[in-house]
Amino acid sequence: MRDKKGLSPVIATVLLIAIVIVIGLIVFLWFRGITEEAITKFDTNTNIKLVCEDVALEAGYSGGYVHVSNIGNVPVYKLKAKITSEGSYSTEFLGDDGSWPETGLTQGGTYSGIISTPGEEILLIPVLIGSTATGEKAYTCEDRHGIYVSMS
Amino acid sequence: MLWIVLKDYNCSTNQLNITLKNNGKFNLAGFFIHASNNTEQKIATIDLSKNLNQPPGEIYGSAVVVTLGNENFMKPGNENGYIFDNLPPNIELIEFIPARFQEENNKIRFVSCSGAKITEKINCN
Repeated sequence: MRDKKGLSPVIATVLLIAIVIVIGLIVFLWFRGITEEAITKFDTNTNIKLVCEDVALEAGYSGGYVHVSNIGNVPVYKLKAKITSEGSYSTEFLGDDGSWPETGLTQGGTYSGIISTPGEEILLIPVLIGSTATGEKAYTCEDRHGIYVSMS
Repeated sequence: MLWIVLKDYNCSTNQLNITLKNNGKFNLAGFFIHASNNTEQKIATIDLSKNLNQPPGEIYGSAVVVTLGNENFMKPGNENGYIFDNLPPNIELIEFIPARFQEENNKIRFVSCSGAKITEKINCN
């Protein structure tokens, strides 16, 4: 019975440290999730992540210009453009040259502006303004809420 | 079912006269109007509401409404005429998105009916 061998102290220590790190990470992610500042929009205090679902934009590209129309009822503060070319992509905000409307794209608002970066496709991702306990804050919607525009 | 139709239009010296008919079943408050003067451009981005010669019609944000007030004055079958001045040259495309006031969560909101958008090719040289 005395000859029975257990884990070596080194492996046991490594395992213990790994378990502690994994548990710590899980607790950190959970805690970050519950303490994340909620951004709401409209007087209905709708979570801004849900408002992203209601954004309705139409966009096209011709002659180096991108054209966007807000046909929905959610005002868009800014538009993040993810320009995809072969094997890479770059990101910019539409109208960074000062051509973006000061109030953003409100109901029925439109924008035409030049895109200087060459590419094959643009993904236009809406950025909305919402309210938090500490004031107004911009929120970039997820990529799936964006619209694709072909540059060819 | 189209909610709004461009019944007729007339272009003359930077001026556009249009007659719109509410062809749907709901009362409407007005519409958003955009134009394009580039044949390659598929999205109309020139906002013509700023060019409205009022009355008839009033400007409400970026929209044109029949009359100010939170009511939908454009009833089914109604026809309304509007005049737009100082147009940019060579308008070839015009888009209308109907809009109406409706109650949501006990509040009256001005909403655009994006699914009922109509696009018309016109010739305003």
